[in-house]
Amino acid sequence: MNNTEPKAPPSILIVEDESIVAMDLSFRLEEMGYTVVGVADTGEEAIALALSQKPDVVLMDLRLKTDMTGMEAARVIETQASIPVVFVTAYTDAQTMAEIQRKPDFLLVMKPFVSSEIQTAIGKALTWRTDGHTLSNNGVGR
Amino acid sequence: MSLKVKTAFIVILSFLILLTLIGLVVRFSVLPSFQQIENNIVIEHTLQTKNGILDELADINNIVGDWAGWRDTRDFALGDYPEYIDDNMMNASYTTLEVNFMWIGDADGHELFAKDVDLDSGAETAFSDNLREYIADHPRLTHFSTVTDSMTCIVNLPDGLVMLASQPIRDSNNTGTIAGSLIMGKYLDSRWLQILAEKTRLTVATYRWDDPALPAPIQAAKDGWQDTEAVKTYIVNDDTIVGLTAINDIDGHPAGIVTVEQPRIIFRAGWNSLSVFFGATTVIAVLMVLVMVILLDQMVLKRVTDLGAHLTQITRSGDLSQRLAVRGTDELSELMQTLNGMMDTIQTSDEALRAAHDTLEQRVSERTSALSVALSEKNALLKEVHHRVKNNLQIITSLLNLQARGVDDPNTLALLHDSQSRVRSMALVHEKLYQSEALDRINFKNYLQDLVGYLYRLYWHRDGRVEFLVQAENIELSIDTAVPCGLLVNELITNSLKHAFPDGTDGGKVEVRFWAEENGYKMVVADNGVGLPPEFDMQQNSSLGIQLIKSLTRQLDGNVVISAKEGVSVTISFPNGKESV
Repeated sequence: MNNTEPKAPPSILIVEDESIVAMDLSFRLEEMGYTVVGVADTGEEAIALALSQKPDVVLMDLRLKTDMTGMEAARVIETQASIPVVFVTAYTDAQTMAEIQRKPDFLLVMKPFVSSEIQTAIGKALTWRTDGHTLSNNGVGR
Repeated sequence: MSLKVKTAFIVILSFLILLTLIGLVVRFSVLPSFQQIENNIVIEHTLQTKNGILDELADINNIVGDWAGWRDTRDFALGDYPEYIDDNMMNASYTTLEVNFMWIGDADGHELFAKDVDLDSGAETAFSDNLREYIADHPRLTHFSTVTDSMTCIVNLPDGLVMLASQPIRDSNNTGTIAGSLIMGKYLDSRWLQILAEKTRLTVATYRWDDPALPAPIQAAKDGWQDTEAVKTYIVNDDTIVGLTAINDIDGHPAGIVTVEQPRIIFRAGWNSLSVFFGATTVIAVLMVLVMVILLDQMVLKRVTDLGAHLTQITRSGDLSQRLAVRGTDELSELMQTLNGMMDTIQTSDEALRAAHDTLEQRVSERTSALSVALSEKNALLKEVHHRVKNNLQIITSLLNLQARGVDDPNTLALLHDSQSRVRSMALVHEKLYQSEALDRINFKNYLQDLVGYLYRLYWHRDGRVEFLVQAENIELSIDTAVPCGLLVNELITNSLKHAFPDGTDGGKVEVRFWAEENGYKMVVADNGVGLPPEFDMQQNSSLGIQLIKSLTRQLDGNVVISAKEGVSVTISFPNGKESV
């Protein structure tokens, strides 16, 4: 984040059903200089906040309070808002892992995480948002 | 070789043996009997022929007796009746009497008259000088002691064999003095033999005893012939047998040989009968062989073959419901019934076996799917557990992190960091566990590579680079071993990163090696840093890191060796006892 000097710091949406972990993440992100635009603990709430707040990056746990998984919410967010998602999870099955690896706007940090891992993943997501997304739009526009 | 061929072979062999035995009996018993019979008959015929000659001699003697007792003959011998010759000794008298010659001598044996007539032509022929000489040389023919004497004999003359009778010339009433001697005789020539043959219906021949041209078989029979009265026989060929006997002269020496040739009618008849018998037996044997083989084939062999074929067909088709068609009540039918009974049993057993097999298959299938479901559930549960453990470890990490926010003391912050890294090294074990197929073992090499990367990111915030080298064998460890091992590596690498390179310049190296040895494992964590302070004593050191290293090594039943040459090298060895359980 030191290499980009935005007027407003990048905004992050945290989707995490464990409140302690969510709190920890909030503090760490703010220490890193990001703005936390909200914390959601269900997929539905995450979609609503992503669409309303338009964060630069979504940090997403895969298991949430309701039946909707983090992956299902991420797909909606990706489709409707083109926001990159960093999955922060303790567990991924092979299918989910494959989907994350396939998509450039999906990234993964395994729990328990270190701050540097979160920071690196958000950095990659922001890079995609400014470069890859534009390219994608250009591609669609033409 | 099929049963049919074997049976035919045995029957044929039996008949061949039978025929051979019959042949041997015929050859050594029956045929010799026939030969004995024909031998006896030819001997009898030979003796009859000899007797025929002797009878003829007796007839001549009778004629001589009549003429010698005749008065006219006496008168001629005494010289009183010279006309006697002309009156009585005409050629016709010879042919009537059937004698070849007559000889009359006086009382001294001097020849008074001698005449020879050919009986075929009825003409006179020359009196044999040999005969005349023989009479002169044998006074017994001309000198008699009484008027009733007589002499008959066979004479062997170079001219041929002669039958001869001689009596004294006397009174008609056989009294008075002997006036001379009268000899009459007959040649044993072909003419007379023809007559004899017609009478006896036998082929008769005579030979002089000293004939130099005797046929070879007769010569052979004559050689070594001791008892010349006996009859000998020899076989000319398959059609003819010959009997022969000797006839003696006046001195009792053999004078001639009489042979009787006889056709071998009896032997031929016997031979033919035997041939017919043998042929008929052979034909009957062949027919019986054929009949026996055909009957055996129809009654036994064909049924046995059909039985074998049927059993083979049942075996090939595997259709155990098939049964043999039983006809009749003989042993083979009983065998078939027994076989049918056996097949009933086999079919019942087979059906029971199939039913048991199907049941077993079904049970195995059910149990397998149940086990499969149970295994899936267990695996899902284990993954869930690992996930929740990791999640909880994240909560602990977050709690430690939140705790650290209010702390300013660097030492306290470092302690909280260390705790976070220990939690992380344990969490990594669970991550590897649910990624592995076994769910209770992890590849420790992969673990080490991930752990080293994590620790580097966590602790290295200085300038310069530290090079990490992981050299590990692909070894799977259980959770019981992997967690203490992971914590040990965590402590050792943390120590190196914290203390080995205080200046933060490039060229630092941290090396982790892990390999299996006989009955255990060995792990080395080494750096090329500044080494240990001179006062370092592991036993006395009370820092938590050192305490943990000692405690975890003890937990693994291992031992730890620290070397401080060119940096620090820590070697931990531990047995694989827990792994082998």
